[in-house]
Amino acid sequence: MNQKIKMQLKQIRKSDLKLLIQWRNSKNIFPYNTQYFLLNSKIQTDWFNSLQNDSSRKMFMISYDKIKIGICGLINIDYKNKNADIAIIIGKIDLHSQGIGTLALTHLLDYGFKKLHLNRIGAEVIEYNKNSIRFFKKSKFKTDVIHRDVIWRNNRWWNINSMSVLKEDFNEI
Amino acid sequence: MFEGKFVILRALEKEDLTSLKEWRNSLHVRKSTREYKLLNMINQKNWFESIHQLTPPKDIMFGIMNKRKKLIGVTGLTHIDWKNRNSEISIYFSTKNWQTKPEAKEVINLIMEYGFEELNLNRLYVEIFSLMKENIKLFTKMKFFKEGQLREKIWRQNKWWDTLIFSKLAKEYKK
Repeated sequence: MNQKIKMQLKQIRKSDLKLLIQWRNSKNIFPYNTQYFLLNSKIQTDWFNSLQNDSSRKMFMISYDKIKIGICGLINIDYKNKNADIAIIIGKIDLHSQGIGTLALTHLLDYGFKKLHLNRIGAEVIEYNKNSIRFFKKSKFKTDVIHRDVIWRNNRWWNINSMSVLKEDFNEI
Repeated sequence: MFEGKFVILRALEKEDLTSLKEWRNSLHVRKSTREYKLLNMINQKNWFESIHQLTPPKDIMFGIMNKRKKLIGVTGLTHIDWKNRNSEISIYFSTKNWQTKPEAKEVINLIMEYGFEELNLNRLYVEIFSLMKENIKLFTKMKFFKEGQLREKIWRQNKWWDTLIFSKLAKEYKK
């Protein structure tokens, strides 16, 4: 319960961008995103500006005990087919596997299913990202598709898992 | 290279857009594509402009002609990812039930030849709505591998439908 009060989703501010660059370029995060170039402040500022008029993406900072520890949101929001994908990064690596990610995910699913009335929320995970696969499975995500050899990293091909949770599964939690 | 026994692939021209608009608005094409609005010429021209913006391009489209040089369909590679060397295949014809005709197989073979042999892509895929039994049959026959099925991905005809992902890898491709 205490944890629940401490965790909040907040609006992203321009002053958060430095933190985002630092996280996304770090060796603990970078290998797990499909992005293959390092971010600079221009890319990050353009990204921030592009968010403002884009209803297909809803991004939030994750704050825990009043400290910004990560970012999460819904991307590729398809209002016609009531579908979206999850994006989530816990930048503070020492807070991994503490249940804070799961808490943020539950918030996001709640927002997606109840507020945006989505029917399906997906997640794409590179196969070597075992922690994330476990993380999503714990929250009732199922693997829909294993896209074969779809990404080149570290001198070889890797699969990407498309996982999803449906509204009807979520209501059972 | 762009010619087979039944068809020839050529570059699309602005003058083709009126035909393409009519075909894409017809029921048999509409039920197989992600588009849910009826298209007008503004949409078509914007699309045509957009596919010519980037170098290297993200989309490479062809008109399908029969041997009498009549335009009978459209094909192409879309969402080309040059870093990870994969792309989606797009294909439709002006008339329905094209999936069982030899032209369809030939076009897919030509587009695979282009994608694998010329562009050096590693994976070509299609996303097929579960309501499109004809397309599922066609790509199964073409020995594409079914990777799985995205649950309840689209809303059509008053219900949810899955979409099926089929792919072919360069190492599985034989001429």
